[in-house]
Amino acid sequence: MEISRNIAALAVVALLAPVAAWSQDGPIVLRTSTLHDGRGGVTQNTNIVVTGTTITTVGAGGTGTVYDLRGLTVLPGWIDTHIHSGSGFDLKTGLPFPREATSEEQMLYEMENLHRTLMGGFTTVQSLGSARRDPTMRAFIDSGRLPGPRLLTSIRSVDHNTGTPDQIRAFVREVVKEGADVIKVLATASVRDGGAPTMSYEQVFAACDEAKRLNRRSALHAQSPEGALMAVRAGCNQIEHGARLSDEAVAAMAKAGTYFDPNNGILFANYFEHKPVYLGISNWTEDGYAYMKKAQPEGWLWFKRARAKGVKLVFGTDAVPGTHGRNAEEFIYRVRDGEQPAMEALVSAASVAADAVGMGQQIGSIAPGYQADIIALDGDPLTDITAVRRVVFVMKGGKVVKNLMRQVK
Amino acid sequence: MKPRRLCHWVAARQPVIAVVCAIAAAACSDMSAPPMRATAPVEDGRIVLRADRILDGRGGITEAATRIVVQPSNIERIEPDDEGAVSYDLTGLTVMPGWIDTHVHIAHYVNADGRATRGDDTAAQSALFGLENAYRTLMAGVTTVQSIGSERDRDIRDAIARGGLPGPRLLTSLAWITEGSPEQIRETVRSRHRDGADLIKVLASRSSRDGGGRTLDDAQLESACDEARRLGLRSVVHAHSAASIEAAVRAGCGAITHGTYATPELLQLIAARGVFFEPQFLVTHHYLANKAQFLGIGNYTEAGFAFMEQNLPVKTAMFKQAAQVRGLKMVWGTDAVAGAHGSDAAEFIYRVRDGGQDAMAALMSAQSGAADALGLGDRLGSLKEGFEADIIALEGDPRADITAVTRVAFVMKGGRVYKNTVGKLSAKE
Repeated sequence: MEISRNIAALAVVALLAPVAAWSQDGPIVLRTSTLHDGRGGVTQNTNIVVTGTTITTVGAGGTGTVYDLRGLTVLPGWIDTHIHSGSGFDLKTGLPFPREATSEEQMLYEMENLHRTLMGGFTTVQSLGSARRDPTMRAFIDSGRLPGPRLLTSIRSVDHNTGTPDQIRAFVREVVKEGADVIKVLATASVRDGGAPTMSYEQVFAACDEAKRLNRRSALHAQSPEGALMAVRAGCNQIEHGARLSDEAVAAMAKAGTYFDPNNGILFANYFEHKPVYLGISNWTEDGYAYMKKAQPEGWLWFKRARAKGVKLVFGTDAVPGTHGRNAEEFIYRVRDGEQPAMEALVSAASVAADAVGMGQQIGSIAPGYQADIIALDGDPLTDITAVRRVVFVMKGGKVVKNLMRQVK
Repeated sequence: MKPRRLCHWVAARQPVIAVVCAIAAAACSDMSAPPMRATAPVEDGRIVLRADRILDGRGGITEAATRIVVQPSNIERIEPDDEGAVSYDLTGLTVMPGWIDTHVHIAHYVNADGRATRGDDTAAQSALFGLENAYRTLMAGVTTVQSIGSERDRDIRDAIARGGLPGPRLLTSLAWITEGSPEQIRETVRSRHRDGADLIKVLASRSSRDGGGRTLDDAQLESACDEARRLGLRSVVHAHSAASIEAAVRAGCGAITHGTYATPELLQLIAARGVFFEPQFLVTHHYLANKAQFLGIGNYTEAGFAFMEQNLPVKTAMFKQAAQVRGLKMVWGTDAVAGAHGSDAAEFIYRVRDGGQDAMAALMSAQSGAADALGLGDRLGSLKEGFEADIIALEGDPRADITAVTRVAFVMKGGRVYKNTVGKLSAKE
């Protein structure tokens, strides 16, 4: 079978000695003037010492190779909990969702998406959808062969066609065996088709429960309150989209502590911006566009209500063709249209997102013992949120992968 | 804007991409305007480098404080330092044009089993191994490569040209031309051209592991190189034996690669005809040092390795002679095969240490010399106003210590910074 052959080959790739294409010798000292810790705290004039892949100290002093990040805003690398790595633009047709691209071309598009995302300040992404090549990319990135963000992936999705609850459980076991970090459940129709539930509660429960049994998280696509309520009842970890909710669903999400990943900003903006390219493909019809036009303001309404009720809002973009690399635009929409305080929006992509992906002890914070995923912005996002566009420095796992830092002179 | 420029470059080769580029332009934002503005408190939209040791790629040396102004992907001007603000302070380093390796095999890699391969994994895996080769090469200071080549090169070339992946500018011959009647060879050249080849690679001799004897006759060589010229493509001929070298030169081909058994008379002939000549050390050393990755594949036999071992002193002697031939256009290439990508700069060390070449001459052969060989001498290979901003910086001075070529601290390609480990220089208190 193609997949298992892949996995066998990949297992070997993953075992190859990591290649430090950009190796640093000894500790690195990052000198900072404004440091966000990823949990809402800001420290002035301190140093971060990085040894190997890890932050060893945050405070005064430290010796090693110095990168002077003073004058910039230093933050933990961002985490996008919802992207679609496997989507680009078809070289031959100019259309999204490549169908004619060869496997090589498709692979390179996907790696490009991830590289752009890393350069945009995102050191971790969660790929939720049909993304069968993710394990290949993950192996190359994790071994240091290619620069990309940490990649968590669902590889494939559970949907209403997956079958009976037992068949769904078997499917979940299979994708976990293939290396899935998270189970994606498509429980309702697309926003362009109205968003009504497509899976029964029993099906949803089978997916999220089997995931939990195997120590995996579950993320459920819900474009209607019924879908969100099923997710909460079934104990799924995270609800995606949620442009249409209800007070009942919001209250249930708040009570259960379900993470909510709303995608009201860059996702819709990108579809509107690129309408001529999308129109005519699958459900990107005039009707579909009308649904989206209606859904966006409704989405912000529920975003605000969810926030007011204390729902755990996590950062995600649902990045599709046209979005990869500008994921940070979502912060700007959140602040401008969602009226979310900038610090809260930033933290939703840091410690909150790290908790949501089950890595709250490893990433998403700048503190001793954490992975050295560190970025720097030219500007202060707390006073001008568009500073998120100006990522001038990216370190991932202790390796500097982008350094456009201006020199202090 | 840079993404658009890149897109134009791609579109010129493959118009279908134009649409994609228009769409993708917005997505290019991460690497383009915002970060550049961020690094330029200097002059709007410009990147300014400060340097105090510049080798310009054509023999010129500047050892005074200088500003190199880049806008947006080209060198706009080079001027004495006025102590104004700069984006990157490269003082203390040796700054020069990015290197051009005229001979690599970008799609050739060592697989997960530790064996050299041209792609027996899944297509997806092969693509990423090729991309890894490209990435390592760029990080080592090589901003342009000519891959000669494989049909797998094209996807990697096009992916890098889109602008979102880190790799050198890539030219490719696609697959080699090895046989056929003169008419068939002309048709093969035409089909390579249709398939998007940037040049033609012709094998006029056997492999060095098979003795390197001549394989194509005069008519075959003439048809290959003539048809290439007719289509506006350059031709690079693989030739080891003296007979194959001479035939390729007389057939009007543009460049000879390897040239192992070139005699002094032949070297004079190559020079007189203005044919580019590209010998290598690295590839043989690499094979011998990594024998286990290759042994048992095709002609990588014990006998083949014995041939290569015997060739090493022959190549060295030939190189020493070639370096003395006046007017010989000796360009830089490594024949980087599986596992050698990113070690390209070792070729400089072999050339200087074993071949006795002057360090400046070796470097220039990878800069203006190689750019001329690629037909891009008016755009690449020189640190000069109007040229592409392909700029690297080394820790140390390669004129005094050639091993400085392995200490590449800064890489800019087309005005974009891909590597910058000189952060420590920003905090000198």
